[in-house]
Amino acid sequence: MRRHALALLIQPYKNTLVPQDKLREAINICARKLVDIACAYPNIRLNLIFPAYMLSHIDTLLLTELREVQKRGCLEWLTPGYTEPFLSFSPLWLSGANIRAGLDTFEELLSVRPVGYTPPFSNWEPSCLDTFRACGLQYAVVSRAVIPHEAQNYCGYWITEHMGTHMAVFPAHMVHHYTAPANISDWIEGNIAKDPGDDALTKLVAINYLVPLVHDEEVDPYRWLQSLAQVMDNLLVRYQVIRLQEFQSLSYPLGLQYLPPQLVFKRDDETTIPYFSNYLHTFEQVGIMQRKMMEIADRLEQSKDAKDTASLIRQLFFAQDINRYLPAKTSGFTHLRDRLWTYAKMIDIETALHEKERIKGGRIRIADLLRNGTKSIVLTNATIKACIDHKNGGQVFELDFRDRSINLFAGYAPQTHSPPRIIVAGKSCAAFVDHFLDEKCRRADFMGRLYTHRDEFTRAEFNYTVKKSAAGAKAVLGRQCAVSIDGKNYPLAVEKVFGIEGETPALSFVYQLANHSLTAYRFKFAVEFTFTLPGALTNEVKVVCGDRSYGDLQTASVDMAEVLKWTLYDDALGASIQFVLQKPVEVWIFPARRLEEAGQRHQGITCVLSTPVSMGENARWSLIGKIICRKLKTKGTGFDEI
Amino acid sequence: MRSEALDITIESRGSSVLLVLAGPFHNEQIPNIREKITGLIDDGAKEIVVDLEGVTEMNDGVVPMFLGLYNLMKGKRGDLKLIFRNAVVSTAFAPYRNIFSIHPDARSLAFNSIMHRIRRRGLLMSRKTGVRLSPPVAMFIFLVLLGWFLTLGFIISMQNARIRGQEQEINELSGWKEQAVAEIQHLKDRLRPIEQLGLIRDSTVAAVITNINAGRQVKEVVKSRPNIEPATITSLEHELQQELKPRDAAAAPGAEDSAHGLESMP
Repeated sequence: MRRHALALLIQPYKNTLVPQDKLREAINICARKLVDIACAYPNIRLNLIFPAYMLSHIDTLLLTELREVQKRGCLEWLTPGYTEPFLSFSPLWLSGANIRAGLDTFEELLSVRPVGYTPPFSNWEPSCLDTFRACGLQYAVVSRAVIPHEAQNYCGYWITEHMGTHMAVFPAHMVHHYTAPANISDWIEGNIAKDPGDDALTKLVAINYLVPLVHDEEVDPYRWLQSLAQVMDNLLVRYQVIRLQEFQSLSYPLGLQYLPPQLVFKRDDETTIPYFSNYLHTFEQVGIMQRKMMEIADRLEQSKDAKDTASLIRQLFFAQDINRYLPAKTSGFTHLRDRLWTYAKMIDIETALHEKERIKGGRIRIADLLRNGTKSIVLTNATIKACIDHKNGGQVFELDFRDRSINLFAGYAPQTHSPPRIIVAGKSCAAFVDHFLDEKCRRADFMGRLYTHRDEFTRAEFNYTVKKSAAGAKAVLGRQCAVSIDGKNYPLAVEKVFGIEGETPALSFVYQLANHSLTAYRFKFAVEFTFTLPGALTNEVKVVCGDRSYGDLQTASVDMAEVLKWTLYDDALGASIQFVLQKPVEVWIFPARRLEEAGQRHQGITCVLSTPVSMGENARWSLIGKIICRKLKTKGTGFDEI
Repeated sequence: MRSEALDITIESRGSSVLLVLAGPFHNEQIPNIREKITGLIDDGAKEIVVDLEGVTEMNDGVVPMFLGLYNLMKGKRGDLKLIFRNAVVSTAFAPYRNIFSIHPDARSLAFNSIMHRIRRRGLLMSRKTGVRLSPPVAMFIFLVLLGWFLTLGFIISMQNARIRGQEQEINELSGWKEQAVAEIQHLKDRLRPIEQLGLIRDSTVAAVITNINAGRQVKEVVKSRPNIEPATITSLEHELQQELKPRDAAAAPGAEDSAHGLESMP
């Protein structure tokens, strides 16, 4: 009887953000357990999958013990890179740099250079094959779900080829502690029995056990691992428990398999989503985050060999983490904390690059920032960055306050929008969204969407011009349109101006409405902002207007009439956002309504400036204001997380 | 849309405005870009730098547009500078290369005119010879050469100073010698009539005899002892001279008398 092979792959993972001390503790517990297993069962071989940054958190003594196990030949290391890069969403050079940095870290800390690659979430990209080979990787481990359905029962490994480069691919059974089989021995034999291939060949069952580093108190993910190791030790007479690298000398590959780009959305999923990218881009935030990451990567690529760029590139590896770009229960772009963390990493890099370029007095960019074929206008100075989408109603979809590394407009709308366009007017949760409402519209009506839109400005495309002077920069957006009142259309010209002055952390705005007709009409004009302040999660955000103060903005709603100046304070972030207007307006503040509907956790505060407007014949009306960001003493420690 | 294909960045760099264009530059974009640059000129920008390095395609109408803008800038006593190195833009601007102020990169703008010329010359040379030096290596070689030249200059100036000193010393000595010769001659002239009268005898003859005698005895000693040191010879010589002096003085009694005789003369 042929002695078939078993491969035990252990992959500790961390999808949620964890403070550094907790992460260090969790990694050390995991490493200790693995050393214990390796010492208790010296005849079985372990294949460990670690992102390299985790190694730097392991105690030196434990690392020495792991090195000893490795010297005995009982251990093989595999890696997804320095972090867990989202291959499909990252520039090729950045993924290559990430993997290379990971391998270098392994060499530095463990004196070994892994030859096995494990793409996170089995995110397979055939175009990366050249990069893998250039990094010295010899094989990859993916979920069985990535292999075509008819070939999934074969026990062994395949050769995948793309554009002249080939590589060995091991399909593995992804096992989680809550999906793990109870009777392991029968399960292994069942898998061997299902193999329709040649019985003369040595077969391989690869088990990739996913160990959550952050787990529930009552569940012990190491218990099943212990029992699995014990069962494998007992089965040593019938099966050889091997390192994956060894199997290539034990058996021939099963054949060729072309693997298209794909992703296993859940780690224990049995199916893949071939058009996952389209699905993800029906949300705006994932697209904005990815585009920002790619833009930074493009800027860093120009000087990637420079010494001072290396640390920035390493910082970008964390912004590349796949866990931030996939929607999940405890992590991903759907979580405010995750979004703000990713933005913070990227804003820090942008700030460093801005300082390096020594730009004085601001900068205007008109670029295809969203890479969807339309231009965005970007106003930047040393302290602030505003991104304006002139195509969709002149909304501002990003406002970075660099001193606090935060995107204040990182609002997320859970409703998907198809076709995938990243930002869709009226659906995306941005800022400076204009509404022309009925005169009698109140906050409750607005929140309940009981009003009727009297215009198409929200979705309209604006013409734009930009101005740059030594003092600052401004973008002027304009459009001729009509408002509908009592079934009649009246002409209306709207001009929106956004400006930055010098290096001050302020975004000034001007609205100018003009009635070029000979008929007078009235409506309520409203401008909507959605602020994403981390303090709102812990109830540390308050609104102060004169001597009045309003808290509990996670659930409460606020009406303020006839105000010229008010401030949002976030103690957790350590920042204040002040509105200063030249005309009194009514202000409505309430939890971001779109999220309320979806029943999700609080993720933002909607702030609406509303004012009745009466347009006489050939009349003009304007609203001038400014959003000023200021640094305060911070109480939060959230950004210690990784 | 083709009219929006170009990425535009506008920023202030010192006293100038930098306009960075990237992407395909089609004829459809010409009005848009002209409007933006004209806007900058109207806003009072005196120096506009247009970075075309990122331009990937360029239609025929683009260069005439820049000629027009250059003319406009010159008319307003301003300057329009271009930055590019890539083949597409270089080919398009080749016929007007001597009209525009063209720079290889933004950094070269920061250099003063001499450095700028050197840099351009360096680029030209690198294109001709194919030899290119990275700035740190070039700086290192420059510093080494500068060090060599400085050391050489220092040595030359040191030698020069020494030669001058020696020259001055020679001049002083030769002047002193001439003066001494003249003085001796003068004294000899004064003594000659007295010598002719036979009243005094030349004392220098006695000194010569003493030295000759001492020399002879020393030579004999040196012959008998070949390993004798020069210092010992000198001291021996000195001792012999001291010893021989009274004898020689006795052998020439007129010398002392002549000295006394001179002093007593009117």
